[in-house]
Amino acid sequence: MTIGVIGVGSAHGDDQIAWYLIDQLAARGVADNIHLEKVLAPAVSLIHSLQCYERVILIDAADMGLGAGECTVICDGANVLSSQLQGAECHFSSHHMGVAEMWQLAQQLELSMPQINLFAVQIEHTETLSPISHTLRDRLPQLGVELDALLGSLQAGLAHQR
Amino acid sequence: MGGKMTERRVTIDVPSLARVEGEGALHLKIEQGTLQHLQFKIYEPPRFFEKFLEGRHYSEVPDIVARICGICPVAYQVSAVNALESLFEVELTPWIKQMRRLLYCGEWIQSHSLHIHLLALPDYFHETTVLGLAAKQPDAVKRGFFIQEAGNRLIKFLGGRSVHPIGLQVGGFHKAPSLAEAAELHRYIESALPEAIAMAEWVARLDMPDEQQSFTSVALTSPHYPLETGRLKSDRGLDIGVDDYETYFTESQCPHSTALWSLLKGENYLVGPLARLNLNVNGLPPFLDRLLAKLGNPFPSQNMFHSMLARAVEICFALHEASELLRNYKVPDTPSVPVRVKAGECCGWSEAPRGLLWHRYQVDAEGIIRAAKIVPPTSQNQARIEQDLAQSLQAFGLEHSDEALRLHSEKVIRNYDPCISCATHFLRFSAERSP
Repeated sequence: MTIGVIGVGSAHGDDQIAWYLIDQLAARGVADNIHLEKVLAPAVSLIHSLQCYERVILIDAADMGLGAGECTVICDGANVLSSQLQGAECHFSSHHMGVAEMWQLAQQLELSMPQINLFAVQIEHTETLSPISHTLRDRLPQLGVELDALLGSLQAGLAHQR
Repeated sequence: MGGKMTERRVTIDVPSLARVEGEGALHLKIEQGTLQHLQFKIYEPPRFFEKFLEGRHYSEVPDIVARICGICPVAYQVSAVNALESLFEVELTPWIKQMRRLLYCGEWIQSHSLHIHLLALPDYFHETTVLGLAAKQPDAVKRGFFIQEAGNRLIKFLGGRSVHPIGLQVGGFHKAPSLAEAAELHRYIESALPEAIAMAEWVARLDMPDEQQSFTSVALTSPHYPLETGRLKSDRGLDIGVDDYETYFTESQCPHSTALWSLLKGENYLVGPLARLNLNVNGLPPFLDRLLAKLGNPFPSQNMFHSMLARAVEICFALHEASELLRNYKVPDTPSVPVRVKAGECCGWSEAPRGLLWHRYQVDAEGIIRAAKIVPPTSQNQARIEQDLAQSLQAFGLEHSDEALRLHSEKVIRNYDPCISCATHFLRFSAERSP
């Protein structure tokens, strides 16, 4: 039973937050059944990555109208991702294929996908190639605690299933 | 309709081309039933990579040039190391040569598969995205992703990761994968090859326009189908080595494009899978000769719409080649050989998924890059794309609706799989300053 913790990001400002959180987890060490991944433009390869796990925590930066650095955990992340694109005009240049588009494609193909928990962190800015904001950097320890709690509950859930 | 044609004044702007790599646009002006003006615009900002390389140590070059493109980083790395290793007179081991070829196979597989399934195929099923295609042809899309994953795994095997790989260095590789990793990868590649053959047969059955055009095909050629090395030939008599490239090919700027235009003795030409297959169709392994015979082998072809089949055939080739290279994989004593720096100028090339990729470097005695020039495939195809569009739209019929003309234009452009992000790497800059 494996859990994938996948950080989706880019080199632009607070969009790096997922990568920082993955690095933080890697530095601290995780259980053998937890796999950490950092991904850039997720595209099709993310579909393959997701299929390797029973449970997934997908960490992503988001603009949700919260205070910068606050996070939301959405346990039915798949439904949120699906609804995110409803009515949107998608062109699917490979440069514009994000997590939501990837998920919609997986659904269209009726691929078997794991339960996804979306760990979304509110951004302050995502200026091109700028460093992560001080606000989010300062929030890293607290975000780490909240991520640990989520990981713990997933581990417990898997143990209970066994 | 013919009567109305003569009165029709049409301006078509496609401000942002969908399903191509990067940002480009197309502008058409039709007056009195005649195409008056056509521009394939590349407006993505210049990216200055050649300037970034100046002052850098040669050992940094493979990792810097890999960042030019997320789809074809291996091509940039291999052309660069080919140039630098020729200057430093590096004698590569057979293992290094084989693994370079294996890595390159991975890039062809993932890039071609992405183009066929995500970018080009939706056109042929009257869909605007792969989502619509997935609804109509789910098994074909799933198969495409399965094949593409083979390419990603190959790149990760030698490059450490599938996007912007970091495994390659001047003189070889940083690390040799284990036997177990090779065996696991070999199993996946073996399972992907029959899928790729089925995909090629399926692509060959698609209804493609029968549109013959006159153009020059330019590609590397070698006794084994060319990926990472060869002599540059055309179907009109060109036959040169890497150092002679600039004697025949020139680059210039056009006001409507941030990418340079490359011409062969003043004329446009084609690089890429169709050009490669046109010039190397006799260098394919026997199973592909048989497959092409079964499909009514159209190669050599002057129909740009055969590009998709060319890509499908090259995927089959690359999977077969990768399988052969992995079959007898051994872990070497060392994954690299020593490099002795030498000052001078050097050139290198290879066949990127989209066609010839040529590099030139000036290096000083400390191994610092003093000048760099990179000519990517999309710059080389730009003039050909414009000529193709002008001819193809006339053949298609300018009396069609604006929407139909736009869709046909996009189909034509996508035949070239232009990588606009690769092409916009250079801008001539000058400044006058007062004391």
